[in-house]
Amino acid sequence: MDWMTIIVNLLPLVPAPGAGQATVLAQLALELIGRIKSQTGMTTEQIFERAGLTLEENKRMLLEDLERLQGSHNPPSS
Amino acid sequence: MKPRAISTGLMLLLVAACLSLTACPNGNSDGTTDPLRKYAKAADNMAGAINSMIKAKRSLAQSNRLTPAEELRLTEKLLTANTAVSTFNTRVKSLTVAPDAGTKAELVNLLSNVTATINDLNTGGVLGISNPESKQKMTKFIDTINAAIAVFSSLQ
Repeated sequence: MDWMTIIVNLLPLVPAPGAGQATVLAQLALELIGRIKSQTGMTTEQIFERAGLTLEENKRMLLEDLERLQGSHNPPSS
Repeated sequence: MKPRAISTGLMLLLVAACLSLTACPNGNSDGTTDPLRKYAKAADNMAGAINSMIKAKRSLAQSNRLTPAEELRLTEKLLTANTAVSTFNTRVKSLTVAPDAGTKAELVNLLSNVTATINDLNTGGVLGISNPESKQKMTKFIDTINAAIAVFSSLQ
């Protein structure tokens, strides 16, 4: 079993981590991204795309835009 | 941002990165993985084109080359298209062997949904943009997505 397999199998077991754990996971994610970048020459955007995260990012951005635009189109009633 | 949201996002990133970067077949000694890689790449291209289109939309709106009403229409239609592409992308990425007749029919059905939402994005969003340069810029993204859709023509 390689490290990637171990990480994949362990992650579902992490119960909604607190702020401290989130920091540890953030460092882990950054280290993993850094390693992938150095080993493959891919940019962060390419890594996200390869990992299938682009569509999630798209959804997040569009929902943000929708909230902003609907807010500007529907001024609060007095 | 809330810690829970951060950690959820990070877990999603790690799981997806690990799965993609370890499970994606690189070898093609028997030639069977080539179509799957081609399909996966085309699905990624659709996602990437939508991502670029969102960023371009924001930029054009900020410089007043897109009205708020035009941006709203584009945003709504992009969201619908992104959902259809996401469903299709997930199914394509789950393929481990060349699709049989049943899977092909399923993919064709999902792809027709993608095509319909992209057509709607074009006719109901892009073609209604009043600024010619903005319209032209957005049309290029539609062309890119349609080129990616064309990769799947062999399914039919």
